[in-house]
Amino acid sequence: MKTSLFDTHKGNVSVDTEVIAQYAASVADGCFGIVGMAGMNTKDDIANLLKRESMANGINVAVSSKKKLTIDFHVIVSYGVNIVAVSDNLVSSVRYKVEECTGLEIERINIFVEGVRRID
Amino acid sequence: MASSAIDGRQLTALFIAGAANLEANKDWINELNVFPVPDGDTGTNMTLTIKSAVKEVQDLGNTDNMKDICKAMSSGSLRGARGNSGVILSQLIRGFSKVARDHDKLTVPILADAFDRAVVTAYKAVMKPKEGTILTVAKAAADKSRELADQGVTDLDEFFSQVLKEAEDVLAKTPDMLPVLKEARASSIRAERDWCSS
Repeated sequence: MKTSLFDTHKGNVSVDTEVIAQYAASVADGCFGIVGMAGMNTKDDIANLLKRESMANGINVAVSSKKKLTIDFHVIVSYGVNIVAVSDNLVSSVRYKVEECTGLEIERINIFVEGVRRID
Repeated sequence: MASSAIDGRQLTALFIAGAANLEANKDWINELNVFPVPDGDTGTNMTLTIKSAVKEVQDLGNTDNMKDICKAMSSGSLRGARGNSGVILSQLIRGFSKVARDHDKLTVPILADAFDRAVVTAYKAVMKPKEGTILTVAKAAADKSRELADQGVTDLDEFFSQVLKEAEDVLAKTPDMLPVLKEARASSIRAERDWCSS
């Protein structure tokens, strides 16, 4: 498991990228139009699951040498929503929540729309 | 004058009036925007979304065709959806349209079905629905509509005013459902209210 570090005047603080992924996942849970994460809900995504373990909930968090985050979301959207609006909303919500809760800066958020599901 | 059904033209007029009401309250709604991100753009986003739908309806011309009007409302709001609140609004409209489009006139029972469908569609479009938001108010309005339909209410003035009152009552309770709202001493969004305005 990769970790990210930042130094305070009294010592080091280490935040596991899995924790950041969990914050990000909690944001995706509340985003309208996102009905699943690829790699978690789709049964035929075993190839992805086996490739990289942090893909287990469809979210991958990477930390650069400058301690900036790149977060990838592999999402499933509901049929009949505006995908651009949903993605924009996810990006701004994640940025706000993760930066607010971890104090780490996000460099890039990539959204991969892996599938569409009919909900009505 | 008491009426018991809405035709296509009347629905168009109601929709346009509701959109105008939303726009008129845009700044106030922006100020209420504290969840999930306090970026103060809910009013703007919802206004842009509904105006896109209004434009598509107006482009139809002076038609009474309920199916065409509903399709225009639905695709217009989908196309123009902005922000989380815009997506929610587009889903509410989508669900409403799916029921309304099959009828030439909308009576109280049909409106109750349409409001139910609107709420179900909106709830299904998110993994973890949060109470104390638009969803709660919309659900309350839909539940009230169902109750009035079951009671045999047929007059639309009475129907709308009761649904609106219920929505406003529940709206007032939303700070108790969502801690962040209580902290900000704010309240949630009046989407349903604008639906019911006429």
